[in-house]
Amino acid sequence: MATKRQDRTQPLRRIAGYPNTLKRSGGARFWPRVLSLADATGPAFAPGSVAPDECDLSRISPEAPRALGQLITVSGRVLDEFGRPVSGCLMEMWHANAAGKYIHHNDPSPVPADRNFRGHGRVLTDASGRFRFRTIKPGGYAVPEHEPGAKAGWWRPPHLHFSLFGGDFGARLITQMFFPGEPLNGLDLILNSIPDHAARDRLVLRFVPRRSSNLGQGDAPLDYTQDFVLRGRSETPFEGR
Amino acid sequence: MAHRRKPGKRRLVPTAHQTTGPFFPAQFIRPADRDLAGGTGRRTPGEAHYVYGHVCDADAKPAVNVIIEIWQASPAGRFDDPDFVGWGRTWTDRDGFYSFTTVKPGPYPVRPGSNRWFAPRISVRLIGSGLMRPLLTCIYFPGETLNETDPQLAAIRSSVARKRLIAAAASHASAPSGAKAIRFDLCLGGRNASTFLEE
Repeated sequence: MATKRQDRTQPLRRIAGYPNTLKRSGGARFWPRVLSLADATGPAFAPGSVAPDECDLSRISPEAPRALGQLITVSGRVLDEFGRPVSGCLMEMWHANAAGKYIHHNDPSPVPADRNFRGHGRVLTDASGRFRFRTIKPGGYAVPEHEPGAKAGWWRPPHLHFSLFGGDFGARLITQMFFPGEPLNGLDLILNSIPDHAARDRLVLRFVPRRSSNLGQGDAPLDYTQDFVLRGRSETPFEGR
Repeated sequence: MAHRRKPGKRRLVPTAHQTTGPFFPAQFIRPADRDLAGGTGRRTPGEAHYVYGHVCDADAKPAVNVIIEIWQASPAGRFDDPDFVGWGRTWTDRDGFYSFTTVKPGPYPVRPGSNRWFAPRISVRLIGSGLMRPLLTCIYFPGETLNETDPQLAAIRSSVARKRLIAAAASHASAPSGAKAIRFDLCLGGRNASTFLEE
């Protein structure tokens, strides 16, 4: 089989300066995948399987004080390639605290932790494919340079990690979303591993200015939005099932 | 906002993948996620299997903190069995090992009504730090007659690459009593890379 042309809207697997990508990029070739029912199906998540407060990463429980940093909301829709809403899509989100530290045993950085920060959350999209998270804006952070071949002076821009379960096993998406206007965006090895600039731009959240008064809002969040597009069922031989 | 692939084509471009990075929350991986045989609270009737293996990187070093997600049919060959959630997730430990317990999936037809069958198999997706896009593969069971005619195995025109999709019969002290152990090792790059499938 001829090698498929590189899809410029998806990242390169190998990135100079990010050593782990060179060790974990798969082999010299990828083999044809025969589509089957296993690709046209996937785990379903019952509406009650995610608690309402799991969409709020800005505090560890509804009554607890909130984490430090700028409160934000992140909302949007999950669509398939034909623009149809994907409802019941389980979305997992995680990110660093406002100072740039993760709640994770793998994060050895001396950056301060924030005991009020939850750090991870989940939502299920509604019937229109809509979702909404509440959290704080993460900080950027310096990538440790202990590995040979790691780029010197690399900082990750502020970003949010997302994991989405579409209806099919094949629709699964793991990605990151970035913030508009950040000077580190143009320097990030991971974001810029996507050759197509329009595809890169779609990983940058849009800021949504408030149209109403802030009076009486108190600790109001800034709003960001972006849509996610999952691979469609049409790629399987079971269209119309 | 989502963008059209080409004017008039009315297809949206799928959102780009990015790596999970090294900080995937431990809270997202529950103990039940690696026990497909009993994840719904009762034991699923079927042939219990303990599936385990070692994951290494292109330098043959243990690949730590790699997330392994699986999707499989029920023992009856169904993906919509209300009594069996065929999905699971685990990750490699500090030595690069993973394991999960499941029941052997049944074969299923290539298309509804077809008399060609996929052999019992488990679909696998690997994500993790350094994986800019997921790596896809399949675990087949050793000694299966249907392996000889399986369409996915037949599509791989290298006997070496084909054999890498078939697990080995094994034994393991951690296997639950009554469960057969099979071993499926993975190599994420280099000359000994596993057989990964196109996305």
